[in-house]
Amino acid sequence: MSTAASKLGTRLRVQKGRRTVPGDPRIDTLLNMVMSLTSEVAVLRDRVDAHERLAAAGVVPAPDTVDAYDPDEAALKARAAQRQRLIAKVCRPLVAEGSAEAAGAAETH
Amino acid sequence: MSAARVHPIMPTSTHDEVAEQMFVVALKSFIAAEMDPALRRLSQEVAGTLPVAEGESRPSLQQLRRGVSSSPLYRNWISTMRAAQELMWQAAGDCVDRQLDELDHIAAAAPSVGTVRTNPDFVVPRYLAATDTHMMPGSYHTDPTPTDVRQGAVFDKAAALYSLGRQGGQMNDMRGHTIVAHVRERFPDLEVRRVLEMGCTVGNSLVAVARNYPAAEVHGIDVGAGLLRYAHARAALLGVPLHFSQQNAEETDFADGSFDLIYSTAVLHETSARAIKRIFSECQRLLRPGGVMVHLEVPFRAEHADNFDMLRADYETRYNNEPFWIGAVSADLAELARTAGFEQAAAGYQDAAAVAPQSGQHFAFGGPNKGVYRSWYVVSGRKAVS
Repeated sequence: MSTAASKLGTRLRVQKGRRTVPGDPRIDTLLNMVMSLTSEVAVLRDRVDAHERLAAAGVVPAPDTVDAYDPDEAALKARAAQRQRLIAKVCRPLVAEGSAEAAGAAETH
Repeated sequence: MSAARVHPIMPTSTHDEVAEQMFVVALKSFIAAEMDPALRRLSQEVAGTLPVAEGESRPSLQQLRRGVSSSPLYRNWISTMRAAQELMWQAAGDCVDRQLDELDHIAAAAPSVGTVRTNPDFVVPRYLAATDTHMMPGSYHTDPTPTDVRQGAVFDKAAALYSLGRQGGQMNDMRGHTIVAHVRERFPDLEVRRVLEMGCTVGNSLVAVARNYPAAEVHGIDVGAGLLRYAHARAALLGVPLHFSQQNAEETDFADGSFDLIYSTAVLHETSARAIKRIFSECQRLLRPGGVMVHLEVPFRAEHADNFDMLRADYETRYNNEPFWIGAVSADLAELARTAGFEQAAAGYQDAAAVAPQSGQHFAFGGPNKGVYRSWYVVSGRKAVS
């Protein structure tokens, strides 16, 4: 972090006026953490992908070669599909819950 | 990667930062494709069980909110929407902080084109100071130091990410082109020599407008000093001479009759009921006789909204720190313009223009709402000639 950004610290990390979601606030916190963790998994997957593609091309994967790796169209497409699969898997319970609930509400009248 | 910059001060992204940003985009797409339809179904079902007042087409928002508030889907939808928004700001913030010293140097070395005037004694209006707008940590106006460009860089990076390139790609300038399209459609005879944008942020729209009126003197005001320092450097590096100053749109220091055209884009919903009236009055004061005021807003109106749309508007208002969102999309903007003294005042949907029309091309005003990024809601009016 640059010197300028570190001076304000948490002021630039936590929003003023952040409102609590209805229900147990810890669930909101936990969902937030799960999404952050999933984001880190997505970053790791892309990094592994860079390692594999570099190795397949005969380049030794190292921090600098991975950082400099520029994925081609095929790699971008494969990464996008992988990312979608990851999000669908993690978020599936949220949507499944909604579908059942909507169906349940429909049955009551 | 991403060594090529869309403009010379746009923050670059490393391999991992791109991955992080792409995750935010994918998460937002997932919510739109999977969670929104589920909540839309639920909101229709719940609304069907609620009383509707005479003359209304749907239950009140208060009733609807109460009806869904215990639903896990509704609560999880709010949490997931906000998590995606917060991850977006975090990704943009981390990316900028890694290279802020370099961005500050780029800004300091920008050619001396245009001007920027900040005011250390500036008082941020309460409606912007009370909360961090759309959950951006530090909002428009909290700068780490008196000279850096951080908030501008974070805003530019995140705005391009937020709209997924659908507001004019990385230049994010569709709203500026749409302003020009609206003026050419409704006021084709307007001679534009001096222009002012209120709430210009990093100047995305202003650069596009200035390029369409190359002979005009073009000004932009906003509440954030870091935002304006970045905007000035960005425009200067693009070779566009713009004049930025840190001012409140309700009460500027420009002389009466200074401008031919004054506009804003997606600003009114971040103000207040009182401020909108004061901003329209200030436009009336600042325009020369025959000058034109245009305010572009989100393509969403309470009178055209269904139950899910209202929950979505409520999310923006309560959980995305846009406290005046519902107020603005419910206000009779044309009537407010008339009250402020404008002639030919009208409000309606304006077809979006990715590139401002040249002669013979038309982008319709007053037609149907074609949806997000295809239409905007616009109010405009003209100051009386005598």
